[in-house]
Amino acid sequence: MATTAPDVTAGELEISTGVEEQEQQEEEAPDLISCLPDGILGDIVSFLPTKDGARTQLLSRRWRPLWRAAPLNLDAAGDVGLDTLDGWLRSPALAGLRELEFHLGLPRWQKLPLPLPAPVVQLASTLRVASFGGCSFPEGDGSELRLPVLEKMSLVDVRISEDAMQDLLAGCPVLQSLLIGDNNGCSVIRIVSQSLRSIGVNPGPGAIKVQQLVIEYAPCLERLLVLGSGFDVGMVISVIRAPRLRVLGKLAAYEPQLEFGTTLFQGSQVVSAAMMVRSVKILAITQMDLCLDVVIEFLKCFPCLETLYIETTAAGENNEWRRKYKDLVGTFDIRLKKLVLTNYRGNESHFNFAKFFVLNARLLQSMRLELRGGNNYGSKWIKRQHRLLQTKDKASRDAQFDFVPAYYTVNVHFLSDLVCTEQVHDLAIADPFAGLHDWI
Amino acid sequence: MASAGSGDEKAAAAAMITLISSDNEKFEVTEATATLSQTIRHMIEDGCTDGGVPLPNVTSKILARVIEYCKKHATAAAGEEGSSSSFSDAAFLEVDRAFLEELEEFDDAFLEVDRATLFDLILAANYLDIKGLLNLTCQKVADSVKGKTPEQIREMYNIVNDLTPEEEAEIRRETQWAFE
Repeated sequence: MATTAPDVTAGELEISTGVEEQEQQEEEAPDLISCLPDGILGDIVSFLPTKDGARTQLLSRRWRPLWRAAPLNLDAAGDVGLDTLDGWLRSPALAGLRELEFHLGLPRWQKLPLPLPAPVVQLASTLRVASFGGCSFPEGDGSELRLPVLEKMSLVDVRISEDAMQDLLAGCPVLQSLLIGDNNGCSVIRIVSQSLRSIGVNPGPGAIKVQQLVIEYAPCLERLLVLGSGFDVGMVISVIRAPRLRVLGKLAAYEPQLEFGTTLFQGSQVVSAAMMVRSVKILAITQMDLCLDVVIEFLKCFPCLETLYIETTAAGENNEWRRKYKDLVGTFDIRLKKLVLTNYRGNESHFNFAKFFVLNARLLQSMRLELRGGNNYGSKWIKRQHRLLQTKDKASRDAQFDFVPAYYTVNVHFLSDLVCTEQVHDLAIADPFAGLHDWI
Repeated sequence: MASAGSGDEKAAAAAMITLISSDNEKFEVTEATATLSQTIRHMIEDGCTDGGVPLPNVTSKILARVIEYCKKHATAAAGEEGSSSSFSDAAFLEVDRAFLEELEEFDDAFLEVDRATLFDLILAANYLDIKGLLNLTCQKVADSVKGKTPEQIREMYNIVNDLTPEEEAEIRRETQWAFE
């Protein structure tokens, strides 16, 4: 609509009684837009460039508070200088700002991004939600950020040294969720936090990546998310003390290396299963070939696992298990309630894999088979799959089996950037991976 | 996707949901289409969709449009996928790009509605909790006021200015940079 003429007023004309009654019409024409709820008007305001957004305060009393309540969108899009930006940020209207998403928009290959503007530092004391991007965090110049009430923080495309990162984290005493993506200059991150409940890390490409994430002490940490899947060089995540860690993933096929004390994973391979981690209830992994042996190893490491997401990319190994695990199933209790298989093909390897859980997971409530695209799956095919999976003989009386068309799964990769922020920061959702799979 | 008690095989075949508009018109849609709405998804999960889902806040005219949107966004990809026989990621990316472009075109055409309809779609998307549709429609409204003065926006949307001159002056003073 921005490109069309400003006098397009289809909505008004439709309800008006005639063009000649111009004045009367203006009085009678309803103010439809102001009938929208605050939340929606706030969304609309936050979609606007900065100046446009701020100007909506002047529309009416109804509109005045909306801009301040909406997330501040400092979308300068290259048409303002840093002085102007400073001016904006020093505006008295921003006193008491609670949410800030700040990205200087510089390309990440730029070696020396500009430092975080001083006025942002001034705003920090009231921020509850903040995203910093495209800038650098200088260290030791006395202007360290103190974010006493910050609960959610994202650091994306920023340049920050290890020391500055430690200072920054130390300056956030009530931080609950932290998203770290594509940052430069900080190869090791150590987490010691009484408040953090969720951490998401996207190690970033090539040499600039985070190489090591050490969770030294995080007594409230529930969620550890590894975002992005295309990284090739090793990242090591060491979890030393996180007794409440409940959600873990997505472990890609070969990365990262993940250590829980003496238990060691390399991607979605179990290297050493010396120690059980009982707190983990939700796990997401990617496997090239769907391999039952490996998944059973995972179940042994995480004996209380309730929800397991597996994305497979290949046709699978020979998952003939009847003889091999005959003794196991008598002694080993599978507590899975929900199993989601993405890119399920229904071939012998895949259905044998799934069948193991049909026949042995006594607490299973839901098996979601997200079908791989490329085939035409009809109701006949699904009927046959039920036979092959022996769903009639299911171990859990309540188990439901859902075959979900390919659409949902294909787009996950494309949208993961958009949803990963929510996955990390939205602590109201119990299972952050479910959102990925439900994404439109 | 879990219609309880109807037997697994039956449940797995494309289950249908009946949506009932405020003016009592019935719409049969697949679960895949209906569950783009988080509101309906939760109803399905709670097993309270037998006998249809009444949507007292949505008229048949608007519901028809919403369903059109959901159908496109729920099923277009599955159809597109059929042409891809390769397993490589590159092929997936290619298919996906074409699909996303098609969706974008669809969305653009979908937004060619009068203003009253647009607001009704916003309210329906909000009530039904369809994130994609809500963002799409709100963005459309945002685009329509972009670059305009408050006076132009008021005129465009019939907003009555009830601010006192003192209040106006205060706003201009507080956010001076926005009016330069």
